[in-house]
Amino acid sequence: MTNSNPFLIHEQKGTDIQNPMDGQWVFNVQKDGFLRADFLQMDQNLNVLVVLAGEGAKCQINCGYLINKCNKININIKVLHKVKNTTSIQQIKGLVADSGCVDFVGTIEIPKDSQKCDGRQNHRAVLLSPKAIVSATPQLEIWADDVQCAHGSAVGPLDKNQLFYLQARGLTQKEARRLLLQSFLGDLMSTEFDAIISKWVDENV
Amino acid sequence: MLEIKNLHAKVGDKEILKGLNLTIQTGEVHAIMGPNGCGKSTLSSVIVGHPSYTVTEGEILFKGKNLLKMAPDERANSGIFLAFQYPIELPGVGMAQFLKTALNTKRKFLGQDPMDAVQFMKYMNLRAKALDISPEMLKRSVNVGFSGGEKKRLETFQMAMLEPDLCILDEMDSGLDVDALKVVGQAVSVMREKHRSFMIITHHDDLLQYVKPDKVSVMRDGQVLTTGSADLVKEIEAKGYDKF
Amino acid sequence: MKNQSDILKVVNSPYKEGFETDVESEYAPKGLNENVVRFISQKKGEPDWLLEFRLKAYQKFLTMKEPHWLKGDYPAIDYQDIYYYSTPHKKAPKSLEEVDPEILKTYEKLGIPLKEQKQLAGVAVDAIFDSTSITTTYSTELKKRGILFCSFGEAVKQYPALVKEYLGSVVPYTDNFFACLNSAVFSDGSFVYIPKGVQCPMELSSYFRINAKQAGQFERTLIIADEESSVSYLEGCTAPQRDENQLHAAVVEIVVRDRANVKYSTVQNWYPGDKYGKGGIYNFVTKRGLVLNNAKLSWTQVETGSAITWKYPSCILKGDNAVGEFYSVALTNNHQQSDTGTKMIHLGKNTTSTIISKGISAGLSSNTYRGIVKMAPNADNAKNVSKCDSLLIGDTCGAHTIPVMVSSNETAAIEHEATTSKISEEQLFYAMQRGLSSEEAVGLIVNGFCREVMQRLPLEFAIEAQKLIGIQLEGSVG
Repeated sequence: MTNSNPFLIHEQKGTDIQNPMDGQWVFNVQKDGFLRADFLQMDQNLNVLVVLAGEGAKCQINCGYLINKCNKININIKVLHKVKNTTSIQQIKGLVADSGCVDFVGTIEIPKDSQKCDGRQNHRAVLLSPKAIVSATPQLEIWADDVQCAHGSAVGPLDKNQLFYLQARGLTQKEARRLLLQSFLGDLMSTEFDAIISKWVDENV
Repeated sequence: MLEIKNLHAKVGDKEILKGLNLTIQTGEVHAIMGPNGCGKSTLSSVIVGHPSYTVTEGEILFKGKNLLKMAPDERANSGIFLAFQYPIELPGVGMAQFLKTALNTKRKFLGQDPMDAVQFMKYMNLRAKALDISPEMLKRSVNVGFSGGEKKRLETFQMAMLEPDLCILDEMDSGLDVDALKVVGQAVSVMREKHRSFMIITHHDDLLQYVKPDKVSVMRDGQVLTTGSADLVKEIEAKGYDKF
Repeated sequence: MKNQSDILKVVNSPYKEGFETDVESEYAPKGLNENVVRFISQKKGEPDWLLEFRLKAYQKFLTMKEPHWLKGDYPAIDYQDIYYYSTPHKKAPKSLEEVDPEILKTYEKLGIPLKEQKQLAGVAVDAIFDSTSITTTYSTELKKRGILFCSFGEAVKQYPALVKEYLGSVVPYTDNFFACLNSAVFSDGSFVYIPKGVQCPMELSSYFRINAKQAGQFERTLIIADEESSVSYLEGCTAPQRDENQLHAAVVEIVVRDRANVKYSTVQNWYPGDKYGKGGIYNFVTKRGLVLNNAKLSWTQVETGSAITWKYPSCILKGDNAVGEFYSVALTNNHQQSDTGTKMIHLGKNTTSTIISKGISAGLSSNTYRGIVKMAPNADNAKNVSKCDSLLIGDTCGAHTIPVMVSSNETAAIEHEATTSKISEEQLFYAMQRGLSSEEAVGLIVNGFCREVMQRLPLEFAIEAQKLIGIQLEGSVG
C-alpha cells in the first residue's frame, strides 16, 4: 500500500481494499464487515471512497490534517451506503498554519432503498495564522427516508473557556495553546501518530 | 362499553395475544394486572390501532361497533383515549394548539360546532388549574423537555381535555413520585362518571391505592386468566403472580 | 404505516390560484434581441442612461452561458420563445378606476386588498400584474414621512438620481446569467427608500401575479434604507395553472446603511406544476443585500411553489458589526425541485450571521440546501451559526445539504450543523390517537418542524404560510 502521508488501517473485517495510487483509496465493506482507518495528511491530497456494500457493514474514518507552508491540500472523503442497515462515522480534525490551505469535502450518500442507515460526520478546524485558509463542505445526499443522518462542521479559534481554565491552573497562554492543540488531534487519531503531531505543533505554533 | 372476544394479535412474527377475552361495562374502572411480558401493553396498543400490531383473529366491539374496522383517529374521535407509557415528543408543536386542533376535530366528528379561541382558553384553563398544569407548561412543545413524571401528568391533562368514554392508562404509575401519583389519582377520581370507563394497566398497586377498581383482571401469556373484584389486588401483592 | 390504503388520498388540492384572468394584453414582439430591449425601454418612457444600462447588459448576456450546476433537470429554455414584455393596459393607470375590472377581481379573489378602505390594517401594497404595476396603496401617506414606496417605473421618473446611484450596486449586471438577462429586460418591480432616522410605520408589500401566456417575468426591486432607518417588507407571488413552464427571473437589491434595519419576507406560491410534473414556474432569482456598519438585514422565506426554485438570498456583511440572517422553509412535493440557500459574506469585523433552513421533501421531489459562509481575511471575530434540517416524507424524494464554509481569518468562527430525518411513525400515531387524521397530523408536525422560521413572519402571513404548507402536502402521506 502506498501513501506518502501517515495512515493506519486500524481494524478491518470483510473489507476489500484498493489503493491504486498514493493517497487514493477505495474500500468495499461487505456484509457485517467493519473498517476503521486513520489518515494524517500533511502535504498530500487524500481521496477516500467507502462503499458499505453489505447489510450490517460499518465504517469509521478518522482523518487529521496538519497543513503549513504554502501547501494546498484537497481532502475528499465519501461514504456510500449502498444497501440498508449500514452505519458510518467520519471524523475530521485539522490545524492550518502559515499560508497553508485546505479544501475538505466530505459526503454521505444514501440512495433510495438504503433504509435504516445511520451516517454521521464531524469536522473541526483551527486556523493558526492570518494567511491560513480552510474551505469545508460537508455534504448530505439522501434519497431514503428511514435514516438517521447528521453532520457538523466548525472552523474557529480554540475555546476561550478551555484556554482560561488552563491558565487559571498556572500555564502561560502559550503553554495552554500548545497543550490544547496537541490534544486537539490526539483524541481522534491512533496513538501511533502522537509523536508526529507533537513535533508539528512544536514547530508551527 | 368494550367487548373483546378471542383476540389473537402478533407483532412481526411473534404472537403476543393468544385468545384474549375481556368485557368492560360502562362506568366501570377495570384494572389489568400481570407480570412483565404478559401482553398488557400489546392489548392497549391493539385497542387503539397501533400499526406495528396485526390482529389475526377475534373481534373488539366498542359501544357495539366493530373497532377493528376503524382507523386510529376514528377510534379516538369515537371516544377512546390512551395515556401512553412513553409519550413521544412533538418538537415545535405547542400543547395548546395541539389540543385545540384535536378537540375541534372531535367536535366536527360528532357534528358539533368548533370552539373559538376564547371558549377554548376558558375550557383549557379550568382543567389546567385543576391538574396543577402551569401556563408555562402549556406554552411549550408537546412533551419536549419534560421529565417522565411531568409527561404522565400532561397525558392526564389531555385526557381531561378530550373527555373520552374509555380511558386506557398504560403503566401510569411507573416513574411517578408520591405527589404526582396523588394528582393523577385525583384526576382519575374526578373523571370517574357513570358514562365513562377506565382500563388501568399496571403490574403493581401504587395507583390503585388512590383509585379503587371495580374489577381486576389478571393476564398471563397473552390471555386473561381470571377476573375478580378489587380484593384480587391484595392477593397479588401478598402472593405475587405465580399462583395464577 | 399499515393503514396506508385507508389513509392514502390521491387527491391533490387544486392550486386555488390557478385561474386565468381574461384581459386584453399588449405584448412586445416575441423573442430576445436589441430591438425588444429598446421597445421595452421606450414603452416605459425611460431616460437614456437607463436604456444604456439595459443595452450593456444585453451585450454582456450574449457572451454568457446558462449555468447548469443546479441539482436538478429541466428542459432547455428557448429564450427566443418568450415574450419579454406584456401589459394589460396601454397606459399605466393613474387610479384604481382606470384599472381593468377583471384585474381588480383577480386581486380580490386572491385576497389582496387594493382599495385602501379594505386594507389589512397597516400594510401598504404594490400590486404588479404581469410586468406592470397596477397600484401602490398608501404611497401618499408614506411620502409625508419622506418614505418613497412606488413601482420601479415610477421611481425612475420621479427619483432618477436615487435609482441611478443604487441600481446595479449590489447585483451588477455581470453577476450571473439570469441577473444579466433581468438587467436587460426587467419590467417593473418595487422601489423603496426610507430616509435617515425614519422607522417605516407600516409593512410594505408587493404582490406579483403572472398572467399572460408564455411571458417571462423579470421584476427588479430596489430597497434603500438610509442610516438608522428601518422597514419590514413582504413579497407574495402566485401564477395561473398552465401546461407550459414560465420563467421568473427577478433581481432584488437591498442597501442597508449604517445602523439601519431591513426585514424582507417572502411567501412564494408560484404554480408548482401538476402532480405529473407538467407546467410550473421556473423561479430563478438573485437577491442580495449590502449591509454596512452596525446594520442588519434579515431574509425570511417560505417557498412552497414553483416547479424549480433556484435562489440564494444573500448578505454582504461589509460594515463592522453588520448582522445577516436567513430563515427559510422550502417545501417540495410531486416533481418540484428546489435548490436554495444563502450566501453570507463576512467582510467587516465582528460581523455575525445566522442561518436556519428547514427543508421538507415529499412525493418525487428533490430539495437541496446550498449555502456559502465566507470569512474574509479582515473579518476579525466574525461569527456564523447555521442549522439546516431536512424532513423526508416518503421514500421517493431526496434531501441534500451542501454547505460550504471558507475561512481566511483565524479569529472568525463558523459553526454548522445539519440533520436529515423523517416523521416518525410514533409521532404520527400519537397525534392520530388524539383524533387527528393522518394528514392533519403530518401538517401539524411539519408546521412544528418549521416553527422557528414561521414565527419570524408577520402574523397574517404566518397563518397563510401554515395553510399553504398544509395544502401543498396533501396527497403526500401514504
